[in-house]
Amino acid sequence: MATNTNQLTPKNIRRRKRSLESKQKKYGYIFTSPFIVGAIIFILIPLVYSVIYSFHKVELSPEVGKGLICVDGSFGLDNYNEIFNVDPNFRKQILASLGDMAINVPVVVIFSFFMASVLNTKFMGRGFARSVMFLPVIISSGVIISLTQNDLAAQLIGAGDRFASTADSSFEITGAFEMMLMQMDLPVRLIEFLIGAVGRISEITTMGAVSIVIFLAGLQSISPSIYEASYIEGATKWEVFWKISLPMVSPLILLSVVYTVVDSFTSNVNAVIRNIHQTIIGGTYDVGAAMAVSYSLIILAILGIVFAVLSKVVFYQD
Amino acid sequence: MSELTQIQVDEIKRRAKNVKIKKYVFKYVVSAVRWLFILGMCFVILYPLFSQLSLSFMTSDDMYDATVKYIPKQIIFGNYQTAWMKLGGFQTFSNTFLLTFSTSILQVATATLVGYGLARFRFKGGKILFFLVILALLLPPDLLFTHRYSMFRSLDQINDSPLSMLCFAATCTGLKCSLYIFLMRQFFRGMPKELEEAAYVDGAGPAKTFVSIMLPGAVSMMVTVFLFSFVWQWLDSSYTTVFMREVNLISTKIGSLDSTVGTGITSSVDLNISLIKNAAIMMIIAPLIVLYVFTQRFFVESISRSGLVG
Repeated sequence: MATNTNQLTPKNIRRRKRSLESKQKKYGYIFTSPFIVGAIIFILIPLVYSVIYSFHKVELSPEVGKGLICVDGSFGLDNYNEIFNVDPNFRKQILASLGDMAINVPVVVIFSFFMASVLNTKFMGRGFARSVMFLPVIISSGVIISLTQNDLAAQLIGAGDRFASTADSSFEITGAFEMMLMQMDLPVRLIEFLIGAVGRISEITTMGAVSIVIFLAGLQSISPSIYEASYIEGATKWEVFWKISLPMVSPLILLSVVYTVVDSFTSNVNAVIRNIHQTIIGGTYDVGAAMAVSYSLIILAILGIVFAVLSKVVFYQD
Repeated sequence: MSELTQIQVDEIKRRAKNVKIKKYVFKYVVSAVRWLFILGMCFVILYPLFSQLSLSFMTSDDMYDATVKYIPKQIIFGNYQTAWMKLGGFQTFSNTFLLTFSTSILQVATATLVGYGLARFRFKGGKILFFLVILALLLPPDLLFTHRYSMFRSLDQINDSPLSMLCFAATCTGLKCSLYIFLMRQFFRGMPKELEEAAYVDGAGPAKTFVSIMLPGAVSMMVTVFLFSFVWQWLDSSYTTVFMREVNLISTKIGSLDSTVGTGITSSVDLNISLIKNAAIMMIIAPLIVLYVFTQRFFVESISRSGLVG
C-alpha cells in the first residue's frame, strides 16, 4: 500500500502548496536580504533622522569618533524659517529648477521618442548611431560638467566657427530661426520656448540619453505581427504610428517622464542640489537636512501630479 | 471585357513606372533626411569631445594664433603632464579605479540578487521593499547624507576610509543603486518562467536554479548595470565629497585644477588652466570610453531584451 504522503489527497496538496509558499517566502527573504538590511540601516533610519535633525539644532560632536549631537533639545521650525525666509537663494533656486523642469521634460521626452523611432528603423551605421546617442552619459555627467562649464578655451576656439555652439555663432542660427517665427505671428512665449530648446540642444541630448534607451527597448518589444496585420488591413504608416506604436509605448512614456523629472531634480547639475550639498559639506547639517526634506516633499508632490495626470492616458496591453 | 489596345497597355505601363519612380524618390528622400538628421545629432554629441581633444594638445600661443583652427602647430603633451600632476598622479587614478571597480562589482552582485528576489518570489513585505526601491530612486541622495555621515563618523570610518562606500554598495543603497535593482527586476520578469519551472521539476532548488539557469541568461543585463555603475561612480562627486573627502580621488582632486602654477598675465593663466582642464577631461573619460567600446555590444543586446514594458 502506498504511504499516505505520496497520495494526492486534498490535504496533501494543501500541505505541498503551503510548503512551496513557505519555501518561496524563505528564498524571497534570502535573495533580497542585502537590500532589506540596507533599506533599514541606510534608507529608513537616515530618513527618519533627517526629519528629526531638520527640526532641531544639530552640530557635529567635537570629539573624534562621535556622530551628530543635538545642541538644543527643543523642537522648532528655526531651520525651515532660515531656508525659506532668511536665505535669499533657496526659494529662487527651487522656482528656477521647477521652471527648468517644466521646459525641459516635454522637450526631452518628445525628442527622445522621436530619436528612438528613427534609431529603430533600418539604415546603414545604425549600431554606430545607437552607441553615439548614449555617449553623453559618459562624456557629460558628474565631474565632467563642472570641468566644462565656462571653459574659456572652448569658447575661444568655437568663436567665429560656423557650427560651434557658442553664444556668438548660435546667435546667428537661432537669430534667423527667431525671425522666421516672429513673421509667423506666433505667441512670444512659444517663440522663446522654441528658441530656448534649439539653444539647449546638447543639454537635451544629454538628458534624453537614458530615455532614448527606454523607448528603443519599448519599440523593439512590439510584436511585428501587429504591424503586419495592420498593414494588411490597409493602414498607412501615419495611422500605424498613432494607433499602434504610440499606445504600445505609452507606459514607457510615463516611465521616461518620471525618470526625466527625477533626473532633472536630483542630478548634481541642479542648483538646489548643489546648494544642499554645499550646506552639508560646509557642516550646517540641520539646515541641510531641512533643505533636503522640503525639497524632497516638493519632488514627491510634483511626481504625484505627473503620475496622476499621465496614468489616465497610459494604455496597458494586458 | 474588351481587348486592351497597344496604346492602353503602354499607358498603364507608363503609369506604373511613374508610381515606381515616385516611390523610389520618396524612399531616398526619406532616407537622406534621416541620414542628415542622425549626422547632425552625432555632430552635436561628438563636437565637444573633438574640440576638447584638440584643445588638450594646444598651448596658449596656439589659441591666439588666427591660423590655428583645430590642429595645433605643434602637438604638445605639457597639458597632460600638468593635469596628471595636479590631479595627484598615479595614486589618484589607482584609488579611483579600486573604489569604482569594487563598488561596481558589489552593486552588480547585490542588484542581481535583489532584482531576482523581487521579480520571482512572493513574500510578505515584497511590495514594501519594491516601494522602498522606487522611493530611494526618487529622493535626492543628500536627504540621507546627514545621518549616514553621522553613523560612519561615530564608527570613526569617515573621510579617509572606503568602508562607507563599500557598505552602501554591498547593501545596494549607494549611488543610483535602486535604478540597477529596478533594471534587474524588469529583466528577470521578462525571462520565461518555464525555464525555472523545468529546473524545479528536475529537482533543483531556487539557489541552484538561479545560479545555473538564470545567471547565464542575465549576463548582458549585468554587464549593462556594471557599465552604468562604473561610469557613474567614476564621475560621481556627490558621495565621495561627503564620505571620502580626504582620499585622493578624481572627484576630490578636481578642484586643484583651478590652482595656478607659476606666474603670468591673468588672462593667459586662465587660458592655460582651461587648456589643462581639457587635458584632464580627456584623461578622465578615456578609460570610460574604452570600457564603453567593449561593453556596448552587451548594452545594445540587453536593451532589446530588457522587457522594460509591464
